[in-house]
Amino acid sequence: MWPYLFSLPFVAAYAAFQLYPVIYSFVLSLHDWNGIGAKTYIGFKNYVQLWSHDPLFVKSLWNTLIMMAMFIPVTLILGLLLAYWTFHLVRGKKLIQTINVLPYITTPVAIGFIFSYLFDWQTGLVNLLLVKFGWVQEGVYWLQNPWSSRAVIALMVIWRNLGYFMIIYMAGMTVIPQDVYEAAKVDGSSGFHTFRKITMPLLRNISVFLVVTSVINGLQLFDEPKLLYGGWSGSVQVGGPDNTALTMIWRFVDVSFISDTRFGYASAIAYSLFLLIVVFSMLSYRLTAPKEDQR
Amino acid sequence: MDIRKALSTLEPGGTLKVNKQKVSKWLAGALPLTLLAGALAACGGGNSDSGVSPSPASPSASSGGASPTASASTDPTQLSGTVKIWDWDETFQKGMIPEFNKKYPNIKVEVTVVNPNDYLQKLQSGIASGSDVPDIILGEEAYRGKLFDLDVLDNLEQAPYNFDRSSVLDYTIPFISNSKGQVVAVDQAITPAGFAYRRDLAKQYWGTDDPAELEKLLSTWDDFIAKGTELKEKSGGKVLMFPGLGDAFLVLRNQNVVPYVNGSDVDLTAKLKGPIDTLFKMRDAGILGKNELWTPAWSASMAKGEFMFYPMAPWGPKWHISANDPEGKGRWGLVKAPEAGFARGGTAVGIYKDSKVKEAAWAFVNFAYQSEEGSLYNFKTFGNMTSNKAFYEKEKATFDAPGAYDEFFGGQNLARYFLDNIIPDMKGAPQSKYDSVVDSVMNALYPLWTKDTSITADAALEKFKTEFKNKAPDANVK
Repeated sequence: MWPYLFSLPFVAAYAAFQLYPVIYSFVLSLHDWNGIGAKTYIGFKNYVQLWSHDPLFVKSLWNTLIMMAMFIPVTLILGLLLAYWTFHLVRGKKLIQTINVLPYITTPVAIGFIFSYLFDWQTGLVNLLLVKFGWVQEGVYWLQNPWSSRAVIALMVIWRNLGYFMIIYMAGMTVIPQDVYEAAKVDGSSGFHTFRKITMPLLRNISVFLVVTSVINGLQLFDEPKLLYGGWSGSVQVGGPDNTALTMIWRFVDVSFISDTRFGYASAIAYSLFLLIVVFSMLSYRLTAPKEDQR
Repeated sequence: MDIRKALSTLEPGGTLKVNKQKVSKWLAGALPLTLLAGALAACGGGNSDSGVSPSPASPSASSGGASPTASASTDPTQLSGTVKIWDWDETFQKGMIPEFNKKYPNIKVEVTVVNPNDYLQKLQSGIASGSDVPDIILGEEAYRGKLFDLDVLDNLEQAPYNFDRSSVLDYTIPFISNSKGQVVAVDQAITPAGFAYRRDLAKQYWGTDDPAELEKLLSTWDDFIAKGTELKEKSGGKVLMFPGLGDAFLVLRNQNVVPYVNGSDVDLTAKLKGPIDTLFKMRDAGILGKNELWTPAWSASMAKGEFMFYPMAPWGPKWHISANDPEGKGRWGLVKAPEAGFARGGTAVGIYKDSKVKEAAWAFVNFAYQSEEGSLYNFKTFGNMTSNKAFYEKEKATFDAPGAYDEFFGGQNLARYFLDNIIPDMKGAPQSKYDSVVDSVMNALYPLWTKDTSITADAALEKFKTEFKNKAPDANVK
């Protein structure tokens, strides 16, 4: 009796605020509903429409995957190198750590501002520099070119997450016992060899953790593209140039709140995304985790 | 997160089981997405009156009798209650509410500041969850059609409002009517628009800065393009007509008020073919700049004198021109757009159909946006112009006298110019929920048209249709 009673607060809160909405939004995804009028049951039509007749959703999935492919490897590698370098610093270690973590705790809106100023076509700093040094004749229209827009978004994510990756890797390095390094040194290993043969393998689980979590977070990419395309101003531009920066969550928000008010359809997007996240996080785990762990 | 704790599960040899838990925990973190949609609806079945303010003690509110407004019109002190309004312009309400309370001392008006970008989203969440809905709802241009089609606003021509549509300027009626033809709102202020222009540049390159002269020079879009080409050549490409395609397109689109929506039939060709053709002629003539609307570069261009024209409604002198060109006193003018006036922006004010304080809410709406006292205060304090016809006859002297920004515009009487030169041939555009889709597609596409000049007008229209269909799959697009 008592155990049940003691667990009741959590279970009740979980049921009310997590389980119920999760189930309810599934029910909602089987309906056509604008949030105000009557709900119409339409079975799995939303899902059929979504996966077979919605080019924007499919495109948003691809966009998200492409951008993830851009920022996850780069953040991992740079994060590891940065952590390694910082870890072995004798002086100014704390300062470097702090500086690198700052972007991670900066509010996304500010990041959106900074990057849209940097990469503005007419007045952006990047273009001003490029023109000043004579590398280009006219400024590059960064935010209206399919690949550069994605690259800028990837850069925003990298810039923001690098410090976090660094901290996690550094924490991992702290855990590696010093005697392993000493033994390696005695055996004649040094520098890059030690890094490759000792540090990297012993950080493998950290990498798995970072890959899996960034796949999950990456699939939910939204803040960066939305804020880059004027999320802070009055103009509503959804999806970037020709929708090449449209992510799945952006599509979800657009369907439910910006261009339209189809809550049922939006729930179907949310559920599809949920399933995709399950699949992709399992896949990424399979691909990165050590063989002996894959049971 | 607690890094040490995370690491303890991730040490070499940390087992798969632990990692799996970690993953599922993160998956749970991914859920808020689904939760968001769910939470919105979670209380949907609940009653809708929980968040509404207490019922007023108004004697006439209860029965809804034959002439419920009778007591209101005879004795304003009889009306009481608390009216909730969501507005983004707190300054306006802070000024207007005390004025209102001089006449209606027993009605309390509560303002919640809501950003126009989040307005509809917040309103929908409030209605769906039954939590918090204002009695007075504002519909800004960007989402007005969507708001009207949600069917949450009361028909103002019925009791207890008994609003008379013939009392407002004729061209405004489509802007305040839903697709059934019911008047569901009143205008916060009229928004007829022309072009703000740089007097110094007009004088320098065209030899005149007189609005009447310019009107003649720019009577059609073909004239406009010809004059633009001349301007470009004379200035050596330093001065162009508009800062970007966005400015030009919003004028052309808003000038074309043809009804293009009938149920789910959407005739984009009728609405956009003409505007896109003219827009591309201007682009190909090289008379448009490369700025996107509302960007820092766009705002800065006003003071720099790189562009001749900026589309401007009565709210423009304050919020656009003088805000971005504070030193520009005397160097601006106002001229009518080629061919016809057009509306820019504009907010419709309606009353929530399940409001418990409809009469008190209407008393405020009517006072603030339609009555003589309110309109006079509104114009003198904020420069807002009411849609009420009678006001312009009664207060003729007010509009003949100089307004707050007339000096800034070289002594031109802006209000008179709007009233006498721009409004007479204006027509209103019927509102539809598809307007916001058109808007969103336009915002996404015009930067591409700016960048890639190989896109033709026909290809652009086809692209527009495709994008529109992607966003509104239920529509039959022509």
